[in-house]
Amino acid sequence: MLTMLYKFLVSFRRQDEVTLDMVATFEEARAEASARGAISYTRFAMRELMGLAFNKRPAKRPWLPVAAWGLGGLAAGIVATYIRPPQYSSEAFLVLSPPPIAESLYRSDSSLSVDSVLSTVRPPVLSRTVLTHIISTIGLYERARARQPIEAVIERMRRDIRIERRGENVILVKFTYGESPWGSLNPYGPDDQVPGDKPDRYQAQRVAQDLVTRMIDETIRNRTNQAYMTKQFFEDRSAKAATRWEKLNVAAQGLAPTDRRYERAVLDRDLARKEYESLRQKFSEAETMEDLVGRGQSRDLQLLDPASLPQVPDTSPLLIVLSGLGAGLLIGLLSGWLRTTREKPARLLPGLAEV
Amino acid sequence: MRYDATRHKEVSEQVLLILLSLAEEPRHGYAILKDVEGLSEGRIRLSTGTLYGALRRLLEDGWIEFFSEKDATRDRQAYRLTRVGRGALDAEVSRMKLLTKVAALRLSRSAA
Repeated sequence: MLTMLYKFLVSFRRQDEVTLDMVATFEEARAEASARGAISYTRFAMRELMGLAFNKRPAKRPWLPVAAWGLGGLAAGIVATYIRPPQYSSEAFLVLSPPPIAESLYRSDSSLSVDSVLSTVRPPVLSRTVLTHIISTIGLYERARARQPIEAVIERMRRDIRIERRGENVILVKFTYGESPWGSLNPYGPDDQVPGDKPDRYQAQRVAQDLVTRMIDETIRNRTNQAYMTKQFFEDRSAKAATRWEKLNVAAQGLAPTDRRYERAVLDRDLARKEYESLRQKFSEAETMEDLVGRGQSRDLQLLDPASLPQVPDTSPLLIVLSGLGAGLLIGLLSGWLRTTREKPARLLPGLAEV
Repeated sequence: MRYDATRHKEVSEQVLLILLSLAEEPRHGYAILKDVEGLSEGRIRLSTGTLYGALRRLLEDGWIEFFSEKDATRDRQAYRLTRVGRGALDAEVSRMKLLTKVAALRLSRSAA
């Protein structure tokens, strides 16, 4: 095993008679270390492998390995930019606006908060159906769709979408997208300047705008449904309470005040009347709410800032490539420095003869 | 070709021991390993990577050369010191002698 590893590491060296002799000497030394026992053999193995890793022949042109590392880093940067293309982020802001009619004049619905909107609107907006529709209509993730199933693409899109609370009444909707290697061919021009080109930043903006519209629509739909259902519910309940009250009223009137059941019947009738009045009050509030929602005058989600058009990618591809180059050069310099500091010269003061 | 002392290169302790090992007689790689270990009283154990890295540099600088043993039955290469290498070793040893002399002088002065 050690011999195989050793020969593998040696295979990167210049294959000449010195290297062949080195392998022969290694075999001789290995046999001797093996005969001395396991500890000795382990030490020998460590020493040999470390020796191969760190005691390489110094380059005649010291800049050459640095340049090679730099080129390697540059290539890695270019590959990284291809694998993970530049990402553009479009942001839109929604605000939960106060109703135009003073809330002190009626019992408003205070249940509509940013958190409740997020919890009710996020699932339908991020649903498989909606995202599939957006992906196909806008033409997103073409490269990913060619390689992956649609479920994986949808999952990736969900990760690219951020819908979160910002402050008291504001919601951030952000979509990050980048599919074209090295960025768009024409990142700063309008769509029609490059026929057939679909710059990522425009697509990011379109998706953010689409999501915002869907969120507003979904909120209005939810509010309308909720107001209608609430009104219907209290209408039905108050109708039942009215019928009960009427029955109990007839029963109470049919009894003489001296009858021992009279007091109980009057008490039941009064309780039924109070229940009816309470339900009627709630029905009236629900009706007001439905009217306000219908007029668009309730507390609602409104667009604060439309989806922005990103001008530059989140991380510049040039920066990634230059980072790769820089990292490569740094590694090259570091390895060169390590190489020179490995051997500690025993040579004594150079100018000693002049003492 | 003579050793040019003005172009003296830095010699590491390991290389110095390898040169000293070859100064006595031509040796093959494994013999150099063992001799260096003995010369340094077990303090320095060279790996084959280190040894042959140094041997390659010394060959390229012309300080050592390949040596064909009379008994060539064993499949291994021997090395011997060249005149240039011996000159370099002499220079290095002279330098070290001078240093010890100066050091002794300085120490005796400070003691006095």
